[in-house]
Amino acid sequence: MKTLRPLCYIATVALLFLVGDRVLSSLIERLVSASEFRFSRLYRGDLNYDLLVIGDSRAVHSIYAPGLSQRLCRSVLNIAYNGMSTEVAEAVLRDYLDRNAPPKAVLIEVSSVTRSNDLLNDMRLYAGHANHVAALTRRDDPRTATWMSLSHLYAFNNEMTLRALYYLKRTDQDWVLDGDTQMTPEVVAKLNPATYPPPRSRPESVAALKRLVRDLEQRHIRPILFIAPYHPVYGRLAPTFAAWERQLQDEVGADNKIVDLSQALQANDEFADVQHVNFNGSRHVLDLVASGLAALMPLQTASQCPVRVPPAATLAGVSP
Amino acid sequence: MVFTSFTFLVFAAIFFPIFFMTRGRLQTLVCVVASYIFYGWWDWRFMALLATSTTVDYTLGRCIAASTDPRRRRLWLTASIVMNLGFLGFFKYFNFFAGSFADMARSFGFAADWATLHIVLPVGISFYTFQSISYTIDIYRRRIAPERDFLVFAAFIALFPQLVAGPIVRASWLLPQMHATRRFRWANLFSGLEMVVLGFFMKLVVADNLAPFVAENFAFPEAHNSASLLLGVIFFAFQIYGDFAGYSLIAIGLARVMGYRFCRNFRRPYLAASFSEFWTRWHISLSSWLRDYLYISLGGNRHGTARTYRNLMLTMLLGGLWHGANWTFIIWGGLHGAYLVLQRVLGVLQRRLPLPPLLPQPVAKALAVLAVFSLTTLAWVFFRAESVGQAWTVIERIVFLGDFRFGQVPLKFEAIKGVLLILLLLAIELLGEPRPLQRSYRALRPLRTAAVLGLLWLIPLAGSFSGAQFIYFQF
Repeated sequence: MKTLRPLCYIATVALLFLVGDRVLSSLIERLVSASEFRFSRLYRGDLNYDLLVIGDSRAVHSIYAPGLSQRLCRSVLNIAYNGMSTEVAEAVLRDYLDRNAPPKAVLIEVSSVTRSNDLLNDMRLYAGHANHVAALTRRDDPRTATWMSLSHLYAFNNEMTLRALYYLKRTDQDWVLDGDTQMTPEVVAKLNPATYPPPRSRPESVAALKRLVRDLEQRHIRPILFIAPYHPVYGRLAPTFAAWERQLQDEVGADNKIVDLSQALQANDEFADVQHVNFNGSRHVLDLVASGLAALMPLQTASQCPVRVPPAATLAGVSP
Repeated sequence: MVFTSFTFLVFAAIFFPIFFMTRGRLQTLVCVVASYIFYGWWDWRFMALLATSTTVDYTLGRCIAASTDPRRRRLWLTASIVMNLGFLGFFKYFNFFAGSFADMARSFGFAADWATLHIVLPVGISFYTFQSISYTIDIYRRRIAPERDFLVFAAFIALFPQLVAGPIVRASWLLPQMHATRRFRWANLFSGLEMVVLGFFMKLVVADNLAPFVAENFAFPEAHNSASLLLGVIFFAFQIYGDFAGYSLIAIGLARVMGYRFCRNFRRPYLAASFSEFWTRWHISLSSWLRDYLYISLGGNRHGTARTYRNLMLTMLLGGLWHGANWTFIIWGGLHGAYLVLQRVLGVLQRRLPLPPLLPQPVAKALAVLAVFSLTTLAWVFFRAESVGQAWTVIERIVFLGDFRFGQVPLKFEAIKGVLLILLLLAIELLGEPRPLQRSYRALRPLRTAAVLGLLWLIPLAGSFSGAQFIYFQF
C-alpha cells in the first residue's frame, strides 16, 4: 500500500502530462491554422493566385508580392522562406497544389539548390497537414517523428510557430528589408571571403528542381527560374559563381532558361547585405521581373484588375 | 557525460537501481566506480589525475591530523595546497603565463613560442581541487577529523552529480552523510526530480534559447546596433544564470535522489539589492569557499579599512582568475572587487552623514536591485568576451553608437523569445522570493505538481535541444 500511493502519483502526473500536452498542442494548432502567415494560409487551402514565388530568403526579400501584384495586376503570393532548400520548396509547392487552385506560373529562385533541409525543423508545426513536407521530414529526421509522438507540443518548438502567432491577424506578404539597412564601402572593405563559401549545389536539390519543373509543366503551370541579385562584391567573394550557374543551367536543360538577375543591381544602397536586396533594391527587381513577366503573362488593365492590390506605400513594410 | 544527453539517461537508468540494491561499503564502491565512469567519459586519462589528487590528499589529511608539531602540520598542509594548486596551475594557467611571457619577449624582439604547450584542461579540475583543498585546511584548522575510509573519501571527491561543475561541497557537510547506507525514499525521489525538472527548464529553455543571440552579438559586435548589443549582454546575464544555476539544481536534485543533501548554490541572485548580498546568492559554494579559505586567511576585515579593501580586491581578483586564464576574467573579478569596496565606502559615508530617505523603501530597494543588476551585467561583458578588446567594442557600441532601434535588431524573433523567457524566469524568481509564499508553496503538493507539470510542458514546447555544453564545464 505504501508503495502503491507514490506509484499512483507518478502515473497521475504522467497522465496529466500527456493530457495537457495534447490539449495545449491542439489549442496552439488552432491558433496557428487561423493565422495569416503564408504557410498557415497555404495549408488552410482554397487559395487562388496567379503567380507564386518560392525559394529562400533571397526570394523572400527580392520579390515583394503586393508590389509585383500592383505592377502586373495579377494576384501574387510569396511562399518563399528563409533557409528554404529546393527540396523543401518542392514539398511545399506540392502541398500547395494538393489544396489550392493551380497558379498560372511559379517564380523559382534557384540559388536555394545550395541550401540544406534544416528548415524541416521549423516546418514540423504543419506536420499534421503537410503530406509532402511530413514525408520529407520522416526521411531526413526520423528521430523528430519519434519525439513528436511523445510530445505533440514539440511540433511547435520553433521560430515558425512564433511567426505564425505574430501574423495571426496581419499579412506577412510585406516582408522587405528596410531601406536604411544598406551596404557601405566600409562594410564592403571589411568582408571576409572565408565566410562566403563557393556555391555548391546539393544533388538532391537539383534533382528536386528538375522534378518540380517537369511536374509543373505537366500541370500546365509555367515554371520561371531566376537568380535574385547579389551585391557586386559577391563576384570577388565567390569567383566560382559563374561556373556554378553554368553547371546548374546544364543540369536543368536549355529549355528552362534561368533568368540571371545576379548582376542586375550595382549600388550599395540597394543591398542590405551581400546576398539580400533592401527596399530600394526590391523596387528595381520588381520592375525587372514585371517587365519580364509582362511578355509571358499579358498585363491586365487596372479596370480589369481582378485583384485588390495594396497602395504602393505599403512597400515600406517591416522586415522579417 | 552531460546531464542533458541520452547517454546520461542510460547511465542513470543503470546506476540508480544498482546503487539502491547495494549496502554499506559496496554501495560506496558502486558510487566511486560510477563516478569515475561518468568522469572518464570525457577523457579517461584524467581519471588518473583525479585518483592522484584523491590519494595524496587522503594521505596528507591523515598526516596533518596525526602530527602535533605545528611546523610539521603546516608542512603537510603546504604540500597539499602546492600539489592541488600545482595541478590547477599547470593545466589551467601555464599557457596563459607562458603566452604572456612570449608576448613580452616578442615585444623585446625575442621569439619565445616554445614557451606554450598544447594542454587540454581536465573537466571539473577547479571544482574538485577546491573541494580537496578545503578538506585538508579544515583538518589543519581542527574543524574536522580526517576520513579513515579511503573509499568514502574517494566517493566524497568524485561524487558524480557535483564532480564536474560543483557545487563545491565541504567535507564537514558531506562526509558524515557518506558513512550511512543510502536507502531509496520516495520523498527524496520526488523532491530531487522537482529540482532536476527546474534545472532542465533553466538550462534547456532559458539558457540554451538565449545562447545563439548572445553568441551572434559577441562574435560580430561591429554588425549589431546598440539595441541588439544591449539585449545581448542582458541575455548573457540570464544565460549564464540559467546555465549554471540549472546545472547546480540538476546536480543537487540527483544527489537528493541518491539520498545526499547539498547546500544551495544559487538563491535568486538578480534580486540582490547590494553586491555583498549578490555574493550570498550567486555561486554560493564558491563565494563562501573564497570567504572562508582566502578572504579570512588574508585577514578579512580584522586589520583596518585599507587591509579590508585590499583583501576584498585580492579575493575577487583571484576568484576571477579561478574561472580561467584570461585578462577578461581578471577584469571581471576586479570589477566585482571594486563594487564591493565602493559599497563599503558608501556604507561608511552613509553612516557618517545620515540623510533622510529620499524615496519610499520599496522604490529605493527596486532601484538598488536594478543598479546591482546593471553593474553585474557590465562585468558579465568582460566575462563573456573572448578578449578585452571585444568587450570594449561591445560596451563602446552600446554607449556611444546610440542606435536603439529595435527594428534594426537582426535576430528579432530570437530577441522576442528571449525577452519572454526572461520575463517568465523573473516571474518565477519573484514568486519564490517572499518567505510566506515559499512556505505555502512547499506545503501545497497539488501546487507543486502543477508547477512541475507547467515546466514539463515548457521543455518540449520551448526547450533548445542543440546539445549545448554547460558553460561552467570549461572552468
